[in-house]
Amino acid sequence: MKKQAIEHTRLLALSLLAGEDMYGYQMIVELARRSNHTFDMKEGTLYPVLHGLEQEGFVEAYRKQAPTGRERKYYHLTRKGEHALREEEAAWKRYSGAVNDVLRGGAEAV
Amino acid sequence: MTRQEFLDQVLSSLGRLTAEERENVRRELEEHVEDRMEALLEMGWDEELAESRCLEAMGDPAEIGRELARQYRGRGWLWIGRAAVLLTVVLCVQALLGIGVLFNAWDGLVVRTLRPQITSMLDEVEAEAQVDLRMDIGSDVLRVVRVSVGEVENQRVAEIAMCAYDRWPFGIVAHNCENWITVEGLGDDVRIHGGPASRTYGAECWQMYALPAPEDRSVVLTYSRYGETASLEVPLPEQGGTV
Repeated sequence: MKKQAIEHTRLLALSLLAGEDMYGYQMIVELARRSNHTFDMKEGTLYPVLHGLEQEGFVEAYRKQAPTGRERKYYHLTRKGEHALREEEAAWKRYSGAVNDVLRGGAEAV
Repeated sequence: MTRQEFLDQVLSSLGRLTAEERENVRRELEEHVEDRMEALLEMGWDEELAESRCLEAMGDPAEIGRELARQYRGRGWLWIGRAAVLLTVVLCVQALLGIGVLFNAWDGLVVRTLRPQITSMLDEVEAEAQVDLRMDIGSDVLRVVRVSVGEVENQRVAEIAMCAYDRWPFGIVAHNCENWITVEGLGDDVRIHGGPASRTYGAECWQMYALPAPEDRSVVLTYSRYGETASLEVPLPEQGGTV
């Protein structure tokens, strides 16, 4: 279950970065906003995911001044990362589509 | 737990990382806590309460440290892998040098594109011309690079300096290919200095001699082997001139 949570976090992190470069805290805030606080993950667990993506070459990190005036470590989605995002997105859609099909079948049976 | 204790506990699992990487992790997590704290303080939270709320939201430091360390795990093998590739390349190059393949390829390349140095055996040179005449001989190419007229042991001869190389780069030239070339007017007694000037598997260079009549303007080289024949007319240099 924990493994799956990490897989989901990877996909979420990649898709957040597809829009713009962000730093960790900003990603957490944005994720909570977009998901209406559904993803209530432990915030620190985002960093192993980001560092893993960086090691794989899916994201690149650089330091830049944030709008708050303080310097933050920003993450940028690479070409390779865009490719991985498209693949993981497709896999996720297949999976959630299958779950929906099963649920719909159950509802019809009732 | 204080912020410091939290960070120390995360970093305690990261022995594999370089000092710089550990410092980067500490800084990044610290900045996250700072941002979260600021948001809570703006909402009117008490400072102490805000910090403990922040650290709680971060999660278990031991787990974060463990997961971070896991992301950097494969790197030892990465470097061993690179070293192995490098070592393999070095050994392959050494092996190729050992069996002379690279030297042969180099010789073939020099003889094909540059002007190989072939010593003249003439005692006295009347006229000499650098030329670049080629003809196919079997799977090789014969290239004439210099024609001279002069004297050897008081006899007037034409000296033709030539090389042979395979048609394909890295190819191997036929062994003793000079044996299949004849020069019009080559007397047995004129083959004064026997043996090729240089010979490797990649290229052979040698000189051949003819006894031209004073009115001759050219000599003809003929190749004949396995029923295949080819000939090449080589103009003799103008008297007294070096072209």
